[in-house]
Order: sequence, then C-alpha cells, then structure tokens
Amino acid sequence: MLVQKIWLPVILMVLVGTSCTIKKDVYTEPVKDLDALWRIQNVTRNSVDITQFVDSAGFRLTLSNDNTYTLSGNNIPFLVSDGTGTWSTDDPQYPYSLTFKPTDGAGSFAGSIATPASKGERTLSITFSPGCRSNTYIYTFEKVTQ
Amino acid sequence: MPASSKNKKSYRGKIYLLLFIAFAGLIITACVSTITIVSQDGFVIPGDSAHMVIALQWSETNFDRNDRQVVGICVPKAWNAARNTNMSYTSDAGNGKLVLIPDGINDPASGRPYAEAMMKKFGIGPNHISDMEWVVFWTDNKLFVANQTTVKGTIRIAIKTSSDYLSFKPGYAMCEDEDGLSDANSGYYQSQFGTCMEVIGNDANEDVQDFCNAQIGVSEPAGATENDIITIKYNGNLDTSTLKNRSDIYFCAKAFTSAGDSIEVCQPSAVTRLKLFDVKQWRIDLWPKKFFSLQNGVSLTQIKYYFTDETGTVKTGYGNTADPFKFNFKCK
Repeated sequence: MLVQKIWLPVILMVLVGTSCTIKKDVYTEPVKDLDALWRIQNVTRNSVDITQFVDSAGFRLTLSNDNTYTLSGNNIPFLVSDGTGTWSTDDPQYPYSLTFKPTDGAGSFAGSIATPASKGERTLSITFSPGCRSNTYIYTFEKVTQ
Repeated sequence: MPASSKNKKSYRGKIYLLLFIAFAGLIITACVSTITIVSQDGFVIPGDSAHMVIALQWSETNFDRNDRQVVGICVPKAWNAARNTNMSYTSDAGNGKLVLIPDGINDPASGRPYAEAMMKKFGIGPNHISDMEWVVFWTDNKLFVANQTTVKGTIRIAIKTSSDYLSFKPGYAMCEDEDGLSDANSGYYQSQFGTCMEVIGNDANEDVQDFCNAQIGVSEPAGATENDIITIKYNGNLDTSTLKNRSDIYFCAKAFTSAGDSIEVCQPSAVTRLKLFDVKQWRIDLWPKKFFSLQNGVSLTQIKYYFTDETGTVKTGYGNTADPFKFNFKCK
C-alpha cells in the first residue's frame, strides 16, 4: 500500500514532466546555394543598362560545391579571365562578397554580391570595378536550368 | 415627368462631382515652385571653382508649411560634386547652407533616391554625353512658410572642378522634401538647364569632352582603362559623307600601348560592326583588352579610330576631316 502511495505521485510527476517538450523555434537564414551554372541576365555600367549592346550570351560561370569554379565564353570584363580556380564567400548565410582565386596566377579578386530571388529562382548579382574605380559594373546572373 | 426629374438629379450630381474634384485639386496643390538661373560662370580654369547663382520662389497656397527645400544639380561625374560643392541660401524664410541629402532619404513621390529620381525625370537635358549625374542637396533647416505667402530665395553654388577639360550645360532642379517630384499636380518641382559652361585650360594637347554640341563620334565613359567596357557612338545625322546612308557601319581602330606598340583592328566583321540604336545612330560597346587581343599586363594609352562602310573605302573621321577620332585611356 505504501509502495502504491509512493508510485502514484512519481508516475504523475513523470507524466507532467514529459507532457511538454520545450521546442526552440529559431529561424535560420538558409545557406545561399551559389553552387550552380550561371549565365548573365543583365549588365549595367554606372547604373545604365547596356545588356543589349554587349556580347554576354556565351558567358558561363560554374561555381561547384567543392569551391572550384570554371569560367568560359567570356567576352566582357570580369573579376577573372576564362579558366579555373577556387571561389569562396565571406559568410555562407549572409554573403556580401565573392572571391575568386585563379589556378594559374597569383592573387584573388573579390566583388560584392547580392542574392535576391526573382520569380522563385535565386539570382546572383556581382558588383565590381575591373578598370577605373569610378566605373561600377553590376552583372546579374541567372541559373542555367538543364 | 419623373424621368426628367431623374435627369435633372443626375445632371446636378455630375456638377457636384466636378466641383468636388476642382476643390480637391486646390487642396492638394499646396505649393508652386519656380527656378531662375541668375548667373553662371561661362569660362572656368580646370581645377578652379565654378560658380552659379539661382533664384527660387515658392508659394504656399493652402496651408502653412515647415519643410526643406531640395536643390539638385546636374554636372559631369568627373567633378565628384557630392564632395566638392559648397551651397548656401538666403531667403525670406531664413538663411543657411544646403547639405547633401543623407543616404536613405528618398523622393517621396517615387520612393527612389533623389539623385536617381531626378535623372529619371530630367535626364541630362540638352547635353549630348550621358557621363553626368544629379547631386542633390537640401536646406540644413526646415523653413516655415505661412499659407498664402510667396517666398523668394537665392542659392549660391561653388563647385571645385576637376582637371578635366570639358564643356557642358549645368542642370538645376528644385522641390520640397514633403512633396518630392510629385506629378499629382503641376508646380511641385521645376528644372532648368543653363547655357554652355567651358572648363578649358591652356594645354592645347588636352582633349576637350564636349557635352554641349552633338558630334559625329562620341565615346564614354570619360575615364576608362583597357579593362572597362567603352562605348563609341556614331551619329550619322551629323555626318556629311555618304557613310550615313549605309545600313552597316564598322569601327576601324588603332590602339597604342604604354610600351609604344600599336595594334590595328580595322577589318569589317561581326566583331567591328556597330549596332543601330536610334535613327541613323549606331554604337559599339567593346572590351579593349579582348577587342585588341592584349596579353595580360599590357595597358593602352590611346585609340585612334574611324567609322567605315563594309568595304572600308567610305571612311568618316573627326569633324569629317582626314583626322581620326581619339579616345585617351586614363582614370578620373
């Protein structure tokens, strides 16, 4: 009888203790999926859209998830030339800059980036000044869907 | 009888509606702005200050206002006017300085930064090269103006110019910060472009970038290296040769490297063909490094160029002479 008296509150305590689980509802910013095959959607120079006047149709930038890149078909100034190397961002969740290190050369080249979503697809825009510092280019990329 | 009374009623209703719209219009029209160019330097030595004086007048027509006057200027980008401008005002409502509008303060009408909104609304006015920008200031304090009064003000502007040789027509615009560039009624804003200001020194070898006059060949941006995209435009409307009547125009150029070498690309092809962008106006946007097949580390100092037809025999040079057009590579 005494055992029963002890067990009843113990069981009740266990039931109360397990009835609520503390759930932490923490929102995490998704890691931006930059690894993709990108092509140029839009080109601006000093805020003026010049897309229709430049030859950007063949530009293909592959950012692989092992942090290597391949650039081909480039007919307009970019951070790096056609070829391969490695890429990195300053922060996978809130990337502000994208850095390229070509395999065949010294140094690294960085541009500031934004990753807005357009029509449900993530786009990538890179802002940089390959020539005079007074000239700012923004290339906006879209993913090539195969 | 009931039918005609109905007609009368609907007629009266329409009159009331019109009266209501007219009154609503009066209520919305809270201010009327005008801008007058009082004086503007005609000639300035590069590096000296350019001076302008403009007169503003604004009337409050419906209620008291306490807001800031916004003044924009349209000048060559090379001047970096955001850093190099001093602007002050004297007015019936108070005196003071005009300061650069802080980042994040937008034109309430468009929701865009004032500089962008003014470029969209007023463009570059009568200038012919788009290497210009609107730089926008506002009064350091709010100015109180009572209803039914007209305020007169004078704005004095001094801009330290760059070393660039150029001529252009300065633009001026004004509005109030509460209305911005609103089109809800006329009179919320006004803009004016002045006469041609020449900023030219004594060096005869220096190229003058002429924003004031339309030219056969125009290049931009003014400052560029071989690793920029440069735009060369051909305006057939100003060409006296028969080239302007051709359907295809080609770019024929010789580039000079800092090592003293020259590289010529003058073969009519898809690469050298200009694109039509307006009536008898063509352009080519090229990356000099790629266009002239430069090795890494090679830099360019100048391009001399002509426009030709597909055979290369009809050729247009600077001002329809035998001299080529020139583009100098340098950063501003």
